[in-house]
This record gives sequence, structure tokens and C-alpha cells, in this order.
Amino acid sequence: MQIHLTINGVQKEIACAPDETLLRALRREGYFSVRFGSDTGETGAAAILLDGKLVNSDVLLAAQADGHALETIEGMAKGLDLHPIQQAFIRTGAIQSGYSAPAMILAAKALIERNPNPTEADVRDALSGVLCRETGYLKPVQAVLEAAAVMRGEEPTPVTLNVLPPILPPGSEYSDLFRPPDQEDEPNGEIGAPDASWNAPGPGAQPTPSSTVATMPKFVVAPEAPETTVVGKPEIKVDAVKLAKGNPAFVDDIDLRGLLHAKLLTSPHAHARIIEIDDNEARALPGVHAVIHYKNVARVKYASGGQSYPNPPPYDQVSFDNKVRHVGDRVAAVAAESPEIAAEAIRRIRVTYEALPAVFDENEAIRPGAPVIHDEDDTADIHDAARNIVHHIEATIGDMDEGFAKADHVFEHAYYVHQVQQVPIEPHIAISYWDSDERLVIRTSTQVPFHVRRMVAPLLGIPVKRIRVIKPRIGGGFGAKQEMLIEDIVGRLTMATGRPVRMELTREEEFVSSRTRHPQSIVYKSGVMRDGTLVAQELRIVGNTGAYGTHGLTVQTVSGLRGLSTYNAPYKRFDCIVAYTNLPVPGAYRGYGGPQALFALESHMDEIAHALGMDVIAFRRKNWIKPGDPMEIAIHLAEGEKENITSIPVLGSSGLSECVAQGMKAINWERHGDEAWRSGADAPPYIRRGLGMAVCMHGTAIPGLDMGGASIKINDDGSFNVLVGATDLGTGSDTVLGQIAAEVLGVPLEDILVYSSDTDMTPFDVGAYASSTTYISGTAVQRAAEQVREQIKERAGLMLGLDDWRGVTLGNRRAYAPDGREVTMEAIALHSLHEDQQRQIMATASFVATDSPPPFAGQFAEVEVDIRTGQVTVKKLVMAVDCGVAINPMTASGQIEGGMVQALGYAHCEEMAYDATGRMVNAALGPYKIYRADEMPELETILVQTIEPTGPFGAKAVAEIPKDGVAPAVANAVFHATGVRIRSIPFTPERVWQALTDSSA
Amino acid sequence: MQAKIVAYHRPASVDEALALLARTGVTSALVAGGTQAVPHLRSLPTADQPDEIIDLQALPLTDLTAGDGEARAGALVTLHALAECEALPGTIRDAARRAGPNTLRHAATLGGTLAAGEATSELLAALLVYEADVIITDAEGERTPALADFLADPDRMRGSGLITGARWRTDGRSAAARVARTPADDPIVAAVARRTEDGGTRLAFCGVAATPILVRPEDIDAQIDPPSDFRGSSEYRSAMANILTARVMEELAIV
Repeated sequence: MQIHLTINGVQKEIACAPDETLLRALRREGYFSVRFGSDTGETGAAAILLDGKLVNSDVLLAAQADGHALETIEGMAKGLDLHPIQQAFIRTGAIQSGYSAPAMILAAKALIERNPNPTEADVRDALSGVLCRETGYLKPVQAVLEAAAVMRGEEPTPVTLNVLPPILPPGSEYSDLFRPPDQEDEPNGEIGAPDASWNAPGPGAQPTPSSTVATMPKFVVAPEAPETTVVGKPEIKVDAVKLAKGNPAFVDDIDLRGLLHAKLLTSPHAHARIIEIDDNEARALPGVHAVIHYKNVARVKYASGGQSYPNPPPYDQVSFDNKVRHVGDRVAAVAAESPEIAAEAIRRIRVTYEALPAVFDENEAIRPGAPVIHDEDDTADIHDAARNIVHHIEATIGDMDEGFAKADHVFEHAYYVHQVQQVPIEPHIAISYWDSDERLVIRTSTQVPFHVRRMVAPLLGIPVKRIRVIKPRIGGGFGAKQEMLIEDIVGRLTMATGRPVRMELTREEEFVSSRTRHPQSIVYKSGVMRDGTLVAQELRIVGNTGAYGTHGLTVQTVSGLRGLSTYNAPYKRFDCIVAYTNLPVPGAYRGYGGPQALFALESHMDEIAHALGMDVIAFRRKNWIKPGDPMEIAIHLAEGEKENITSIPVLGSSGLSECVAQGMKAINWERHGDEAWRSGADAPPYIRRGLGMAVCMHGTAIPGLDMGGASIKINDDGSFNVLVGATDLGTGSDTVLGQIAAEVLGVPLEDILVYSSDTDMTPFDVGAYASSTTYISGTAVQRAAEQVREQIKERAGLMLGLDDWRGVTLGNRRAYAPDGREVTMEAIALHSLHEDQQRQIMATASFVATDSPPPFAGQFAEVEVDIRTGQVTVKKLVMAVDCGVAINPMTASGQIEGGMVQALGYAHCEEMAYDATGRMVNAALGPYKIYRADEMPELETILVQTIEPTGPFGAKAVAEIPKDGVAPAVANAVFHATGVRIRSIPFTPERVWQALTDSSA
Repeated sequence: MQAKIVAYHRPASVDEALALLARTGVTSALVAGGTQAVPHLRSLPTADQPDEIIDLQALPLTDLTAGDGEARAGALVTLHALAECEALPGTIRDAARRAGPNTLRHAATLGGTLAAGEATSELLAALLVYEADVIITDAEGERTPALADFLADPDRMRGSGLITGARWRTDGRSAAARVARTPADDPIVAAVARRTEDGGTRLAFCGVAATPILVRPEDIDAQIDPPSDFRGSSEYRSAMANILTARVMEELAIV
């Protein structure tokens, strides 16, 4: 049928099918800013304006739009002139991956047109339909308030750092300042005393409606911080403009002639053998071009985790097996002319299953008699396949019996952490095609393009050199895309059909057929002296790696590493079993074993402090690791090459004490001892209030293993291409790497053109994981830039006739001779490329670290608990983070805000729920529950700067640590509020109600 | 392969819509805002798809009037319009606002909400206590079953006719309470109560049965047998029904 509508003021006639969604029709017409997040309207990525109202085009038929006026973001900018809302989103750092930025900007437009003077609550309501997994909504909300102000004629708020004075004196680690206010001594006035920079919220205050713009984090500057021009500044993201305009930048934003659509057939059984597959009916369907399954695909064993060569064993997967091991496991795939034909073909594949008994709980799975999940004879390196034990990981420092015997008290507590999903708003998507050289190009939403290329080659049976992997912009990954997940399927289908093939997971498939976080049963046992000194600490874990072992070894190893690093003890032990079950497959998820262990550790430490009658912070402080302390467990639980790490690492920089002091002040910690406040004297009788905290320590990259490369070359105008294999998945790493290059080369960031990542074009990089990019790839960029700088100085010396060019300095797009003469960068470029002794000024460098300097943080939470219903309301989260020098405080704080909110979901509401047969019952975003903009707790981020000597310009990591502390801080706050200790997450109403009911029984 | 859905209609009047529905030998699906119907249609195997789509957007069912203790709304009134209508009781406006985020409220309609009868719909619970009747139009004219009876009928969407609107009281005082995982989440259980002008009390729950239900305020346990799901067990829902009832009753008792 033909429909007539106005799109961005232009009359259009569009042909569409009666049942086609408006989303599909708009994308076919080239409006690529309207994006897929689900088929249900739940993500808002497909939101557009219909007659001025924000609606979801994925739950609207194209035919319904007939006769209406539509607006997409393509209509907002006039050429290079951005709309004030787009400018505000760019200026305030509201754009991370940018996948849903067009929808948010349209939401703002509709709001401001209706109400030029919106409150924060109005803005949050306007954004409530657009889910964001990256920003925590803080910066988008501020962007809309700022845009409204600018559109009212007010001046934009300057983007300046909100600098706080340090609370602790320089060099101080142990200070009376730290004494908590509820101890007998008078607290030092510094703690908890409001100052001019700090507005104390009232007890349980809602985020207050305001029109002030404050997107920058609070910032505590290290006294020894060096002067820099570009590094350390809140530079605008290098990709912000294209993302704010909704330019075609993502995997799916291309047109390919003859594109076929692929679809997966997944298992309805948790555990079954496939007796027969009959694909005749599917193949007979007109428009179907290929059907692949175990009977026609070579059996090549692999492990799908995107990790360095050689991938950790076992290689327990094949592209298609004659056995399925979880609901959602791969059975077959189809390529067809349209998604509908592919879906219909999938329904016409006849599969005969022999259902097998299934097991989902990790503890039941390792009991004798449990169903054996990997009974195939061609998987090596399973620790004990008959008992479903993939790995047994052990590490011990000292004789634990001796350690516990020395202790005055021994405490042992058991915890459980559940399964959650990363939920990138852009699901996994890959498109493959043959290029003119008959090389296979795979354009994919991945965090690990180089690993994908190496890992997919043997599955496809073609050499690495015939494969090119391109990672364009991607709409979030959070670890789910640290995987070679669907690239083998599109590759095979292109090889089978000769046609371009596109495959995008549905939202349900994203839950059950991609990757998730490992559930774990955790036991902590600690021996402590009467004075609170920790003597021995043991961590025992049974980790649930689901149907396949991908990342199972390394995630659980990191649980041990993270779980036994924060506190000093002469005796330490980690004992971990990793179990197969019939659950959908856990893999990498931001935090990577850390959040699991730290929920247990920081709950356990809180419990011990209470048992000893000690202040919860004083007890932690007494035992937490300080600069100069050895980190011996790191040797025993190295994720990388143990042989590369020969000496015991020693902690260098730590801003932990200052982080905790800042966090105490920001959360108003003196209320911890205020009984009237806690018991909610001014609230309904069933409300209790609580404050909780957790100490976080993470890592920065995998020492001895992670490598990143960078290549830099000069252009005619004195600009530079920076080519990196590092994989910006929305985090801002391209910007951070560009800032490092700009700082070294003495040019503004706008002269740096960052390109990532393409296996044909850029040097190798392991990819975006393990909090590595700033540190590893950043150092590679710094080194490449330093080499380029030397070439520029030499060229300047030649041009200026200097005998010795080594004294030349760079800055302001110029090279300066010691005598004050100067040449411009452009002149240097032209001279070197065209005029005399021509050469391309360029360099390539790479970096692999020997250290993994830990970032630290203090995480604080304020909650209200309804003691009759069990409903927990998180009122405020404060995180003070030491990530070394934040190369870009704006993007760093965005990482923290977004990470905290993901961590809040882990603590509070997100949970993959199953029926008795192992089928996930809440595989949609409403039932699964992602926090939206209009229900957020107040968030506060404080960056506590330290100078890390091994990092580029003093930087450490920031990416994963925001995931570590929210669950234990909320747990500890719930305990503070109610006196009841809950040792499993999430804190959903019935779980809390049950615990409260049990404790009062 | 030819998609099974071959035609799209946008009738301009209720009579025209009813005539389309009355044809034999043609299956059709109704679409209003689309927020539920479109994903449902898209998920159907070809064999189960209807032949045609009937889009109701052009029907003159967007009037919303309130006064003299009564409100009347066409089926195409959006949840956003309900939330914004100052003449409606706060409990109904708030429930309409809570039904979903901004994007959904702009598209989703009262008629669609009535048709879906979702167990977690606080709006339906609020309409129940305000004595709502559903207005259904067919060839014979209008009939107006009580919302409680309409929701209790498992075959409510199988009969002839079109939901063209609803009417309900606006007098009396009301209160609502709920328990949910997060502040904007669908309720696990919600209770809505209304004190009528004549001193009577009406109480409704969502989250304790297949649809929102009206109950007598006393001896609640005898009237409900909640289903269990991942958000809450039957036992928990029963306990919450009692606790939330106490809260709304207490609130109504305070003048």
C-alpha cells in the first residue's frame, strides 16, 4: 500500500506492507537515526515525534502514520548548524554510545515546545520512555534543562570543574579526621560539615526540581598534578556531533544490495539431544536461501569468549551441535529475503528432540547423579565432566588452619548472587559480505574485532587474511560483546549464499541466547583479632557458568582476585569450583567477577564490624590495603600469563582514604548514628531509613597479556590521524585517546582524527575489556605520539636551520625553537610531505603492561525500607572514585554514573527469572526492569585524583569499578535500616519481606 | 512468500467500523494506539495472522468530559489525556500516569487498556472503585456492562461490537497504595479504595487475580486467591493485599 505523510516538513509517499512497522519503513527510507531496541516499545530507541508527540515507531504500523506529520532527528540540524538541544547534549556530555540520543533529543524537543520552562521532574517524565544503560540519566536531564535555558535566551552554563578541597591533609592515610562521628570523641568539624560547595539534601530528599545545570562531577585535585592543556579537561567527545545528529554510524546503518536476513532457531529445551532435523519445508519456502545446522556445518570446537590467544579452554562449543544445553541454545539458522520469511522458515524446521533431565543450580549440578551436560567425547580440558565441574581454581597464601587458629574470632557467612544480563540497548548485530577482493567483511557490534577475526576464521574454514572485521559505532556492550557470538553465523550464510547477510538478535534472544553475568554461591570465612585486625581470609565460590565455559575460568579467577585484594591478611585462600548447568550462558559483564565477590566481601566485612562492635568504616580502614603494601594474591590469581609476572606487585597510588572521607561527607554520614532519623520518626510508622557503604578496589587491564597498538600520521594541514584497534563502545575511549595524542603533539583535540577499529586499517588491540583502554591503548597512543613529536621536532629543526633540534617544544599548533622562532604544524606537514627530504611523519607503538594499578572507590547508599511490604527505595547513591588522573573528567563521571545505575539494577530489581523447565519468564525489558529516568535516586560522583606513575598522564581505570559497590552498600544500608542481614540480591520486595518476616518469627 | 495481512482499513465512523467487523469470511485485527496490538500482531505465525487490520484512529471517540460527579471518555482517549485532565479524580489521573512512560502514554488508549484487562493495571483498579461501566457499541446500539462484570468475563473480547468508551463516577474520595520493585515499576499488588458520597466503600486490587478485581473491604483473604509469579508468590500477594488495604483505609479515614 502507499501512504502519504510529512517527514521533517517534506511530503513523502512511501510504499509499505499493511503490517509493517513504522520503524522498518523509516529505516528503509534512510532515516537511520530511528533505531531498534526491541519489538515492544520498551527501549524508546525507535521514538519519533508524530504530530509533535513522542511515540515509539516500533509499536506503530507505518499505515497508522498515513496522513500525519513525523519528525526525526535528521530534520533538526540545519546543515552544520545544530539545534540548541543537540548542542546542549554535546556540551554536557549527555551522549555516550549515542544509540538512543536521537530519541532523547526528540523527547526534549517535544517537551520544550510545550513547556519552555520545564522542571527537572518534567524533564525526567519526558525522558521516561527512553531507556539508557550508559549515562544514569544525570547528564541527559541536565542537557535538557540547559537546552531549555538557552532556548529561553539565557547564557549556557560554563562547563567548569567543581573543585573540592581535600578533606585529608596531604600524605595522610591515618588521621583523626577519619574518626566517625558516632564515636565518643568529638568529630573533627571537617567531616559532615556542610560547606559552600555542598548542598545538604533533607532526609530522604527526592531529586529536587531545578533548572541549574551541573553535569560536571565534583573533583578533588592531587596537589602534585602536572599542568596540561588537553588532558584532564572536559573535552567534547570526538564522536558527539555525528551521534547528536543521528548520522548513520552503527552496524545496521548501511544499505547493501541483495541483503539477506538471518534468523536463529533456538532450543525450547534446557537439555536435549537432537535426534533429527528436517529442513525440507523451510528450504522449500520461496525466498529462503540457506538453512544451516549440525548436519551441514563442520564441527569445529571453540570457546566463544573474546580473549587473547590461546583462548582459555575448554573448547566446549561448536557452531551447531546435535545437543542443546539451555533454552535459547542454537539449533539452526536461516537466511532469507526478509525477516518475516526467515521467521516463517524457522517455524518450518522440524526438529526431533530427546529431552534430557536438566539442572540449573550450581550446587546441584556438581552432586553425583546430576545430568551430565558435556558428555561429548571431543571436549578436552574439562576438570571433571562427569560431575559438571569445568574448573577447580585454588590459591593459598600460608597455612589457613594456622591462620584461623591465631585469630580471636572466626566469622563465616554464605551469600548468593543471581543472574542478570548486560542489556545493551543495541542488541548483537552483524552484517557480512564479500568485498571485491572476495574477502569476507564482517561489520559487527563487538568489543573485540581482532579476537573475532582470529576466532571466526577456523569456524569458517578460511584464513585470517581473508577476513576483515569492522567495528563502527556500537550501542553499548558492557561485556556482552566481548564474545565471538553471531559472526560465525552471518559469515557462514554469506559463504553459503554469496549474498550480504544481516543478523540482529531480538530482545528475548539477547537475554537467553547471548551472554549474562555468572551467578555464584559464595562463602567468606575470616579470622580477626579482638582489635579488628584481619588475620586470615578465605573465599569459597561455586560459580555457575551455564551451558558453556566461556569466560568461566577467568571471571571466577577475577572473583578470587578482587575478593581477596582489598584487605591485608597474612593468610588467604581461594577455592572455587566452576560448574556447568543448563542456564543461558554467563560470560563477560562489566565488573567481571568483581561485583559478585564484592557484594559478599563488603557485606561480610560489615557483619564482622557489627559483631566486633566496631565502626564499619574504622574496621575496614584498619585492614584495607595501603600504598606500599604487597598484593601477593595477584600472582596466584593472574588472569594473564603468570610467568610474565615475576615479583609480587606493590600498591602504588591509592586515594581510598580521601574517597571514603569525601563519600561520608556527601552522603551526610553522621546520620548513621542518628536513631530518630533511622527510625523515620517524621515518616509513616512503617518506614525505616539506612545508610550503607562499601569499599571498592578494581584492576586496570590484565598485566602481561593485554596489548594495544596505535598508529599516528600527519596530514597536509597539520592534523593527525590516530588509528587505534581500541574499541570505543560508547565509553568515550576514542576521545580519551585523542586527548592523549593532542596533549603530546601540542594541538587541540579538533586536530586529531581518531579511527577505531578495523582489522585492515588499525594496529592490533585486544579490545574493550578489563578496564584496559585508557591505560593500555592510551600508553600506546602516548608512545606513538612521542615518536611523532620527535619527528616533528627534527623537521622543525631542519626548517629553522637548528644544529640541535632536541630543544624544540610543541604547543598551540606550532613548534618553537629555543630562540623563540616558530613554525606552524601545517608548515611542518607541507614541508615534510612536499618540499624537502620528503617523508611521512608517522609512528606506530604498542604497549603491554607489567602492572595493574588498582582504582579505588568509596560507594555510599541511602535507602528507605518499608518494613511491612519489604519495598526498598534507594534514595541516593554517592561514589567517590580514585581513577588516577581522569583524562576526561566528563566522560569519566559519565562512566561512573551509568555504571552505578547498572549496579543499582543488579542490587535492587534486575533478575533473570525462570520456570521449572529453565525457560526465562521475564525476557522483556518491562518485566526484567531497567531503571528509567523518572524513578532514579539522586546520584553524586566525586573524582579523587591521584597520580599513577605507570599510567598515561597518571591515569588508572574507571570503567568497571562503578559496578562493584552498590549491591553491598545497599545491603549494608538495608541492615542499618532494619537490623536484618540479607545475604542474597536483588532486594526485591518479597525477598526483603521474607527476611524481615523470618527475623521477627 | 506473501504476507497474510493484505489490507488496512481506517474507518471514519463507528458504523463503518462495525460494518467491517460484521463481514464474514474475513478475519481482522483492531488497532488503536498500537502499543499492545502491534507487537502482538508481529509475533503471530503466518497461519494465525488476520487478513486485515482495522485502525480505529479516525473514529470520533476522543471526547473526554467530566462534571456533575460523572466522567465519560471515548475509547481513543489516550492515557496521557486522562493523566492531564484536571476534572478527573487524582487517583485516576495518577494511575493513568503510572501506566507507563511518556512514550506509551501518548499512544496507548483507554479502549486498549479496557480490552487488555491487564492484571497489573492500576488504572483499571481505579476505574473499578469509581463504578466504571464499559460502553460497547454494536449493530443493536450501546450496552454498558459494569467494568467489574466486563473484566470477569473471560470471553469479553469475543463478543460482537466495539469498545467505544467508558463512563465512571468522579465523586467521593479515594486513595491508592502499592508495592513495586522500583518507584515506576508495575505494581506487584496495588489497592485502590473509594469512600462514596453516601458513605459506602469500594475497594479494588490489581495483582491478585487475572485482571484487576473489586472486593468487599472485609475478609479479604476469603475473596482472593492470587497467582504466583516471579514478582511475588501467592502468599506474598495475599499479605500485601491486607497491608495495602489497611493503608488506603487509614488514609480514607483521615479527613
